[in-house]
Amino acid sequence: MNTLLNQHCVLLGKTTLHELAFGVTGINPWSGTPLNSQYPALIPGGSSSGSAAAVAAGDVDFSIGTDTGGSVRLPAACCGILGLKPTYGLLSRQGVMPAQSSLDCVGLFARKAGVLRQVLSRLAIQPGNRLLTLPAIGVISAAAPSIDALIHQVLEQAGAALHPVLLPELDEAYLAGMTLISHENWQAFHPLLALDGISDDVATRLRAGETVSAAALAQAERVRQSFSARLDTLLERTPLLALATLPKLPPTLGEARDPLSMVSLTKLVRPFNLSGHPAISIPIGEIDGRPVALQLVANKGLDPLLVDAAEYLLARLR
Amino acid sequence: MNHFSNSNAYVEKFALGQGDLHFAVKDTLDVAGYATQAGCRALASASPASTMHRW
Repeated sequence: MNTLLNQHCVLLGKTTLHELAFGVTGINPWSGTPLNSQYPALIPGGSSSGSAAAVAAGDVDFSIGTDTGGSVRLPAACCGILGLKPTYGLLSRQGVMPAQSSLDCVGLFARKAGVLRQVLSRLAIQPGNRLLTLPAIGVISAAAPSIDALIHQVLEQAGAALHPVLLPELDEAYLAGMTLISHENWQAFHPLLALDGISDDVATRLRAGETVSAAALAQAERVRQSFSARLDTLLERTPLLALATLPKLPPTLGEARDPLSMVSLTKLVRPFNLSGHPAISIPIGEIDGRPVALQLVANKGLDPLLVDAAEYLLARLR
Repeated sequence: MNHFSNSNAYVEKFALGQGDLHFAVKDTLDVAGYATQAGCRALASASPASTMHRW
């Protein structure tokens, strides 16, 4: 943060979030549920709900969130803006709650890819060159058919060479990510359960982390290794992988009343927290008046390529 | 860009620093002088952070 303040950035406030960053709707009666300004009937998404909403509303040029299981990419998709989850470890987590996480990354929201490029460069992350064409893209069909069809159409119109890719390992990577976040959030937050003031839903999910077994953690770590290696292999063939950010259209505030049923919204984002690969969510259109977002994934450390590809795509969607 | 919409996105508003890009930060990252409450009532009486989140 100091770096940004020393690099001609003005911090205008702290934003609300899903309680303890442990939930995906962004609904929070205590610290506030932000308005999804482009889609007022829909959830803002979480957990970084306020940071997404502030950018979508035009309050600020960019914002900072954290993404442990999709908490930047998911609200970006719900609010119709860009959301970048960098490579694990690229941006420091010193001064971030919780202090320890094997999954969490500080991430960025913006409306324009050019702003993301500026911010990365102010954080001393060397920007890439503007793309003259898109590199080859491995396309994973893993969402509702109408969403996958729109993604395919947009990428084809942008002139990318598309290669269909099967990645059934997404499911076990999602489950391994759930196991690890459950365990790590229990470790980080269980002392708070002794205090008054944790909502029932969050308390229930925190307590579920107490009983995660050593064998389950070891298995999750094995999946982390194999899934990460699988992605590295795929990314040797095509520099980018593409899939939907959300497996279905984002729900309305009413539809989201059952928070447990909402966790499956992270099915396609959480795997990349497990592996640590950088991923960006890009708004590409609407179906039935609800936003559709494309997720691009790159090799670790190639975060600028994601920003460049997002800029290329957005310029061609206008 | 100092006008705020009705986004209801904030738990605190202030202005730190000078420059051309305006930003906001999730309340799980420490900002010196402000409590980090993470949207949780159990942290309502948390002390202000003494140091900033570092990159």
